[in-house]
Amino acid sequence: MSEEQIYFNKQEALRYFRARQGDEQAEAAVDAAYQKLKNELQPRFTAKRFGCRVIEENGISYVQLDNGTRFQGNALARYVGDARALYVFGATLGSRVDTALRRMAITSVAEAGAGQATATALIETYCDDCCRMLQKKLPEGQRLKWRFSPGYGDWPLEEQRILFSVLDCAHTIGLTLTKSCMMAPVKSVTAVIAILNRKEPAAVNGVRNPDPPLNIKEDGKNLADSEGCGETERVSLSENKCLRCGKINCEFRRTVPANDATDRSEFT
Amino acid sequence: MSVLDFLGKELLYFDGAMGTRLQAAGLRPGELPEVWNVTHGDVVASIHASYVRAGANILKSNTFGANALKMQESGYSVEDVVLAAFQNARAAFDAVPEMPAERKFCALDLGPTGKLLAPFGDLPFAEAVSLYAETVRAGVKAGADLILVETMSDTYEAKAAILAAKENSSIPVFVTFTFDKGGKLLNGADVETAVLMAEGLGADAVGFNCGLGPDLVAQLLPRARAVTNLPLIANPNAGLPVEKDGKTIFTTGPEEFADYMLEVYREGGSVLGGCCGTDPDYIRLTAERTKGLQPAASAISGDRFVTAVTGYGAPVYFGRGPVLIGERINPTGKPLLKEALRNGDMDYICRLGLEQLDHGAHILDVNAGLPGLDEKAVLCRAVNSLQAVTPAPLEIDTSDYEAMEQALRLYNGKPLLNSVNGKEESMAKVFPLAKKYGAAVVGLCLDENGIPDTAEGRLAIAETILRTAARYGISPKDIVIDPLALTVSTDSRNPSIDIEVIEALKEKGIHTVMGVSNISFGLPNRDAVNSTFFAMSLAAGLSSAIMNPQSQRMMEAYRAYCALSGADEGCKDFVARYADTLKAKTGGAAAEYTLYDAIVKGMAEQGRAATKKLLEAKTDPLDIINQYIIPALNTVGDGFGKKTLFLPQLLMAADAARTAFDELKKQVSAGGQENAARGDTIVLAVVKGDIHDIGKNIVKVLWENYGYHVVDLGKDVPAASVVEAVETHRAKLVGLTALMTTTVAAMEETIHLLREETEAKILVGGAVMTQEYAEAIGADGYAPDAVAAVEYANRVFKGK
Repeated sequence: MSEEQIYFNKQEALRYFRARQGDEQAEAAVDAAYQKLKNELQPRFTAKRFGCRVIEENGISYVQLDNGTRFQGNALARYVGDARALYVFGATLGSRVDTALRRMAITSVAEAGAGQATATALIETYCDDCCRMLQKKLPEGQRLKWRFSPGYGDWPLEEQRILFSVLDCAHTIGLTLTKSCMMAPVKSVTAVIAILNRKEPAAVNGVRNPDPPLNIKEDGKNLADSEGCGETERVSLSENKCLRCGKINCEFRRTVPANDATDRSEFT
Repeated sequence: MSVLDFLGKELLYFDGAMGTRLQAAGLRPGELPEVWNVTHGDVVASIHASYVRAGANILKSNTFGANALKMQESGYSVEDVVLAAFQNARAAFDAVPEMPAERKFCALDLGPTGKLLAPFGDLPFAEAVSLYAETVRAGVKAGADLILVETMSDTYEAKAAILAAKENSSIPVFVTFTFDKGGKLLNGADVETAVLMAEGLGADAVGFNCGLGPDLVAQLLPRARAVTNLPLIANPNAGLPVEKDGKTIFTTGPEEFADYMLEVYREGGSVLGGCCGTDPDYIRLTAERTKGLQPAASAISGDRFVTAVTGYGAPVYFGRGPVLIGERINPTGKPLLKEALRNGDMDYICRLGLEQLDHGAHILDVNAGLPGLDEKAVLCRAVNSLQAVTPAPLEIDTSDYEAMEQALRLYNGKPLLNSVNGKEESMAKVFPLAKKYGAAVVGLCLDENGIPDTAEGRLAIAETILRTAARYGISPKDIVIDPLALTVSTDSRNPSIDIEVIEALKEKGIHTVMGVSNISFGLPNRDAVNSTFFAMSLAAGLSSAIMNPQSQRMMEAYRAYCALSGADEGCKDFVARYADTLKAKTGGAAAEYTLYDAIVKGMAEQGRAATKKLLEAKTDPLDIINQYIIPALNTVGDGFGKKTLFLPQLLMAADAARTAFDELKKQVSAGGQENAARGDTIVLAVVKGDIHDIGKNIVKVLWENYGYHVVDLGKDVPAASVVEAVETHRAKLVGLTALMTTTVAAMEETIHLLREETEAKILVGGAVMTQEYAEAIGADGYAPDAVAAVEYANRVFKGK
């Protein structure tokens, strides 16, 4: 899929920019950044559906796909739970966005910060849009869970290599992996998305939360207790991630948006 | 016989998909199709044979991913799978004796490496060339009849593959790209850009494959045809892929595909085949539909005399409105640029480039010639750095042939090369390079006897240049003649000589370029003379000018000329630019705030204005730093620490302080003084393997604002380079950042090496770091944010 237009969620961009409420200069900065980025977007995604099951061997949990591929990790196994199918998913804003961000970094450090925040908001929104599209293709009674990315919980970032070989996303969407498992273009997301076979309330903006709060450990570091969770590169979740974060007094905690309680985050 | 004996003279047919058919035969997801050349040779051969029976006379070897990167864990060498691939293809041809032997060709198929090339990813260009070269050598050994570089979605990678093919073989090279519906590659290059570059690099045929179905390829094909005379290839998919029941299927059936391929043929396609989702039926029906047809007239007739240069975005055409070449990246008479080149400050050079583009330049001239400097290394770095931030074309400007070759080689696109002249030596050195790397060349009207003082003399040299270029296989369309502007102050005939040369060349359809401002050397009010001469030259037919796009009068002359000549239809651009001229003539922001307030409030333009005001009042620059800038930054830093100010304010304050420093630097430079004493030196780097540098950039700006001299090594920096920089600059402090868990090991390795080789203090930061982590890997300090990094540096250097 290639859809050049992505809804610009300014509130999210401001949150990633770590702006305080009502900061007009910060608002102007993300607006300006969006103007510079919007013509550089070349978003693409790819998703492959697999049957899956959780297995345990020698005390280690794995998620095994029906093509034989295995991903390792307790958090991932808990995430997949009793789901019998999942999507392996990859999305990118394209390399022109990286070039534009580098351009901003040369010009002004504030512009660069606003640009990073804006691009992060855009890729997250794009992923949400893609998931909605995938959701629409599911039969009645099935729904997608939120996205779960390598590096998240105890799922090793190195397993990006496996995920990339399954997706073949260099060929399909131009998303590549560096030797140290970084994605290039940078503003990209990979994840698995479990397909739930039971009808249960969707995890949306505080309406209902089907998943337990998750204090995410990354290499022993409790992200919920850290300075926030604004980095797409580190944590890639769908829109309601604050609801699962244990740091309830976080200054950047996403509140239930009064003016954006549209269906954007509902995968229906 | 060679495929070139048939190419463009009769229709040729590629085969269709291999990968999807291998999957149908049992290839598992994640399994390398190329390995099947060895393990399931009979299956591969039988798929090939099915295409030959369908009418394909060019087989794509099953070597799409046969490069050392992909094969490294397969248990097979590149040569193993390539040799087996050709045995299979030959066996398939042998199995169909009814097809004449002289019309059977095996193409060595080269697909993408699966990596993004630096600076967009982590695969260095030279390494990409080496990877392809290995496969090409194996293909030649295996008896390939031609090379097909295919499914290219990045011009830079395509260039690496084409260079490898040309440098390691003498067989024909075909190139096909994968565009999106809008006619763009994944790196943003247009159809025209990709085709112009491939043609320049010596491809024998170019075209389209994968990504799109034949209907969309038929729509894009005229865009390729408009810029090249090369035969055009079309290997589309069987329509666009859609997912059904968890499987990818293609929407266009064989009959419909063949109907569209007839359309592709009519639009100029003369080498036809298929890609993903196609099978022998698609090829058979395509061959049947086009049986007996000759390549369409549009594909073989008419010389498309298109003079254009490209980066990796849209091309810049000569002859379709004046082309502006920004001249400012040239150190002559520019002390700040000289300093930046000596210090390797590529950010400064990039800013110069971006400013010129913002002001309307179409192409950037890049000259890094400075006595005592390794021009080859600096020019290449400048070209790489500029291409990391802009897809605009560059003009590589050097008289050092080694620097010229390296810069041309590294360049992404079809560059403009400045320059060749009528001297035998110059032409003998420059033309082979221009030919190999597909550059358009500026030809200067001078030779061993100097610059003729008549138009006839200069035109004669232009003729010599064009004639000699043709001997090297360079078309006149790739030569842009510079009549050479000499100052009117020494001979009042000089301007009219130029005008006469421009008019005569325009008559012959040859494009021109001129460094316009040379006309006014030795005169006062040079802008007035330059802009008037510029307008005269444009009216005479000058195609392009090397000029300063930040000169208001030059840009006014340019825009007015475009409006008056019809190049700016309906004067739209002119009106858009100047409708608010009166409002714009305020001469920049007036200083309404003190410098302290401007920085605290994060108002960059106010910071600049306040600094100017202080300088006009003869305030000592050091006082400006100590009494205004540092206290303001301290206030912001304190507020950030206490969480009364947030990240945006911190960054905006840093920007405002930087504009103040820029003004101070200009003052020092204009006064002809040596650069003010540098502060203490800090080396800063993002460690090897990590490509995220936003945090590093913030720390750099803050450190610089506090007067430190920061040696910024950039991102993905090997440990040895950090150590070398610390030793070279005798730095007492090193800042290292890493964002991801996967690069902490590289940070630890860098720290170990620094400990062994230097005594520098080591400060670490980055999203993945914590105080505990920092201690565990042996760092001296940890900075959770940029303000903490400043505090740490102050403690190290000033004991504060």
